[in-house]
Amino acid sequence: MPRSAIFAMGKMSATLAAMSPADDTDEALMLRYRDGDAAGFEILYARHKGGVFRYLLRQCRTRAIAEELFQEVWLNLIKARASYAVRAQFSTYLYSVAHNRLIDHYRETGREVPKSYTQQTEDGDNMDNLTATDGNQPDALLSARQGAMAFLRLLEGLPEAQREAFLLHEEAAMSVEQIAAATSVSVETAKSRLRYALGKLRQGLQEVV
Amino acid sequence: MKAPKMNHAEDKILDEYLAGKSHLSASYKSIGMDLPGIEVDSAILAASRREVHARPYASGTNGWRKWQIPFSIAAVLVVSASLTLTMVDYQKNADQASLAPAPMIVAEESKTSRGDSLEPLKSVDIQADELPAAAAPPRVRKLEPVERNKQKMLPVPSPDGKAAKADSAARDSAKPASPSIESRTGAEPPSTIPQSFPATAQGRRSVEPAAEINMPAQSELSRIDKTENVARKEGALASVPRLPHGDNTVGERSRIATASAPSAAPAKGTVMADSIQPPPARPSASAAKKSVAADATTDNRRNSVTAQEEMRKSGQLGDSATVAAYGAAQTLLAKIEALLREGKTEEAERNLAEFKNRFPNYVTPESITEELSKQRAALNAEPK
Repeated sequence: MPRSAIFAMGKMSATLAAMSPADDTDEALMLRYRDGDAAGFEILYARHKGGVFRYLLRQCRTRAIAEELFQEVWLNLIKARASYAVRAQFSTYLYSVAHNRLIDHYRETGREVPKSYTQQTEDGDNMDNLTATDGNQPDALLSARQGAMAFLRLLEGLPEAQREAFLLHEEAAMSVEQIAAATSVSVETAKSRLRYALGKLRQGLQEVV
Repeated sequence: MKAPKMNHAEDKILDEYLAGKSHLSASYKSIGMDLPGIEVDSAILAASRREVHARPYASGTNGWRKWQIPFSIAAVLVVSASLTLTMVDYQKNADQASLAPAPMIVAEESKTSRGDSLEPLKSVDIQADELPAAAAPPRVRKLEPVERNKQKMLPVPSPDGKAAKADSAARDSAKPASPSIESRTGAEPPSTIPQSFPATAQGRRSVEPAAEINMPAQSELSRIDKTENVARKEGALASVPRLPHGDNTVGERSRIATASAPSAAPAKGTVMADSIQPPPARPSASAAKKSVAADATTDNRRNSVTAQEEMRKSGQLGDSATVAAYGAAQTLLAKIEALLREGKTEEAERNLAEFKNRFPNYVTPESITEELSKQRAALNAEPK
């Protein structure tokens, strides 16, 4: 065995030994928390607390409600630690819990579940208008502040399902498949929702500009 | 063609967005990075730590930990069941051991209950060769009537009549002494009367009135009764008759009285000289034999009881000794006594030898051996 390989293996083992819990994956940290290591949960919480909070905030539009839902999501996760098993990515599991809690919130407030959640296809949208064929990027022409406020308004104007798809990608860096798993829809539905969300946002920014 | 172009365009936008090449992501991030409040963070982290402290090992996928509680419960149940069964068996054995002597006691009592019909003493008193109907331990209380009868019929009649004449002669010779005996109600201590086989009625041990004997006898009976109870508990007194309280058995009382007054026991050698009237040698000897033999019955009864106790204590009369064997021994002893009273020394010797052969562990009463030796000495000394 060449000496270089031996040195590489030794270096790798040293690296592994020197790895801190913070280097662990989300799944490994959750398993450690399941087995009694509270530090693993703290790392997980630090990693995902912002994204889950903003995911809920952009959809609830009220900070108090968002914090309440946010706390309940993490408490549910804590209670379910004994039965946690690695079946999917931790982020998918976490945001699926958040999605379900959000749906429950809609029902508790007396509101019907938004139609956008139940529609399998996006109706009434003309993608021709949503597609900018000239290559210009209208969002880039706005100032930072104006752009932010405009974008926020546009985001709030999206249908709930399309907004959720966009937020899951933005906050959790989820792929279309992961979005489909987290929201319990098909991949095509998730793709369609995301596509329409992007088109509307682009169109809205174009109009603003 | 629009649809494909549109689809191609949509897909391109989506792909660019997903690849991070769209400015929409930047526009979204420009909105702001809102975060939850500190109190929300603290509450959530505290809850996570509480959960860990409450259930340190919440994992259910670990094979060993999953079975910890069931194994613990099973082990506790097994140990508890084993201990319970062990205690139950121990208790059963203890109960059986404590109940073991009961059948022996019950059997002995049942046999003693029909002891009234088993009167070896009584039969000996009447006829010398009348053996007791059943082998049963003699009842001490029956000594009283025998003893009284012996007083009346001095000496004990024999079937062949030989002893009858001698007895009548002895009676005649004893007549003068009888008043003294009869009047001897305990005022004079029986200083000249031997413990066993007195020569004449005068030499007989006085039958102290019940009043005088009862007082010490009762305590002695209690003492004897207690001794018998102790031996019975040991399981050795299976065939020993109980001494009923209140029964004034002459023989026993005489023994007790004599035992309590050892100084009153005279020397053996003084009996013949002091208490026996000077009849002809032969008649006097035969009369003495008969009178002494008559009283030997009481001594035998007493000695048999004592001997039985001693044998039982020493283990000679084992736990498995039957009442029948004991009765047979008593019967043979009674026969020997009767022969001695009749003066049939040789026949008595033969029976004694047979007795020792059949019952080697049975202690021969000293009274019989002494009387036999006396009669043998008298026979050897008589001119032929």
